[in-house]
Amino acid sequence: MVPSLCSEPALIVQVRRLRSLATVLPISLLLLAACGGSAKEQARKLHQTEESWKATTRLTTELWKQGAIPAEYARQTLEAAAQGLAEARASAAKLSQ
Amino acid sequence: MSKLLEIALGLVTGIGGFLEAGSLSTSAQAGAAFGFQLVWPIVLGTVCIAFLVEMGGRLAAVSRHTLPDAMRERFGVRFFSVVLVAVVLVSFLVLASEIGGISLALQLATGIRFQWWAPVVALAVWLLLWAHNFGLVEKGASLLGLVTLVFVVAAFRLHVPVNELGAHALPSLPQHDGARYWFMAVSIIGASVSPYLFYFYSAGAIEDEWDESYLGVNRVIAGIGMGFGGGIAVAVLAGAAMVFHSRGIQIDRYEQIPLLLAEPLGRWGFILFVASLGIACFGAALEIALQIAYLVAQGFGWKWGENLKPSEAARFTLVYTIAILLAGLLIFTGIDPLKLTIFSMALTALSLPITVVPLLILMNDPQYVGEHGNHWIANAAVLFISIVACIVAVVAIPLQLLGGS
Repeated sequence: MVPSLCSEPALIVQVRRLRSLATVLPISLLLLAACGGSAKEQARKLHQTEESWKATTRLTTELWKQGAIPAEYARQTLEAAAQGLAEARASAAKLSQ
Repeated sequence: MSKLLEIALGLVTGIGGFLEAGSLSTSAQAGAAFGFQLVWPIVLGTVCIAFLVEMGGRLAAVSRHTLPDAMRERFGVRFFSVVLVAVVLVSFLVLASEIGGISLALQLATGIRFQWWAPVVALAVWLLLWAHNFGLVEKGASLLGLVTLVFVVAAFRLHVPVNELGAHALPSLPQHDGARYWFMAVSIIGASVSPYLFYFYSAGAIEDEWDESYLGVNRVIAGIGMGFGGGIAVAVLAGAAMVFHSRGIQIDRYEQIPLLLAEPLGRWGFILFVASLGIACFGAALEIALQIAYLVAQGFGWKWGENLKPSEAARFTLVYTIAILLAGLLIFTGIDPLKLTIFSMALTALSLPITVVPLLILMNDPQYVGEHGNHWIANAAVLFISIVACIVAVVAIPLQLLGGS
């Protein structure tokens, strides 16, 4: 007879606790997400993305001027920032229509 | 080889091999978005992987069974097939992420787009596995992986407030962006508890012919090696919080992450970042490709072993060849490596119960581990972390997809 994991009392208690957590946690998360799905929230996130790319541009330029990063890498990052900024602005324009 | 040397090599493997595309990018993204708030998933993930790695090594040392072999024998072919599909699928995505990480490192260094590097990288990974033996693959990659300690140096240079960092080692509720917070948390746990880590470790113990005299060595390697590895991931998060979060920068592209080291360490920081990303991902790609081949070959009872010539284990060799080829092709399509990595890690968290529970059952079965069965604390900790991570992933992944990230 091979004893199984379920014969371990500590594990059974653990599984029962997890079952109750399994019902509470998803509901809490769904409620939390439902609160954050509005157009206003989306606009805030897009603004945050725009600001993030602007700050990336500033930091990259500053480090490049100090000679802390190679010009080739600075070009790649600034290109990515320009693209990210354009995408965020386009999404924001779509949202406001 | 003396036990002390085994421990030293094992620790180097644990520390040097811990950081890879998943843990690096999830920690950097989390630090940038939430400051120090997401230290706790790294702590939980590290505790969980330390237990799992120790169990994988103990199973191999005591039962002389590889993990897939024991699973097939204990649960039958039908159940084993489910585990096989889940682990291979998740590992394949992680393998593609690692190839993406190496390709990105080469892009950062040369300016040539990452997708053009993907075939070259895939070929290099395959050639190294084809031509060399297990010891070189495992120890060589991990020794070079010690370069990732540069993130700890950077954290010191950035004067990370240790007390504040430590205060976030316990779980806390999000202060903003709840869905993203939970998604990041499960991605971090997924990155830390990648099944390839304990499957590969277990196969390595068999390749190195471990017996019961290695149980102490195994415990030290798993506990201290993984602990230090997790410490490097915390250093990445702390560095990202200091450099990015304080400036309002969120990580949307891999190109932003080198700034984390360039800011405190200058030009050397950039160079060491590229080296860290390339080496860590290369080491992980070798291990994951091998682990996929181990899993399939051991599961089907084929001849296997990295120490055998490819012609002596042809089907084993064919499996890693196909896995590397397909993963290279996926990156060659131009898929965003950062998004692929983050979602692979979240899917890893989702699959944890399937990959972890069978191991737990084996580790409580005297037929396999005799008197060396699991302590209840190990069972409870691993089960709790795996199931909670899976539940959060079930909710957080769709929400994140609907949110358009």
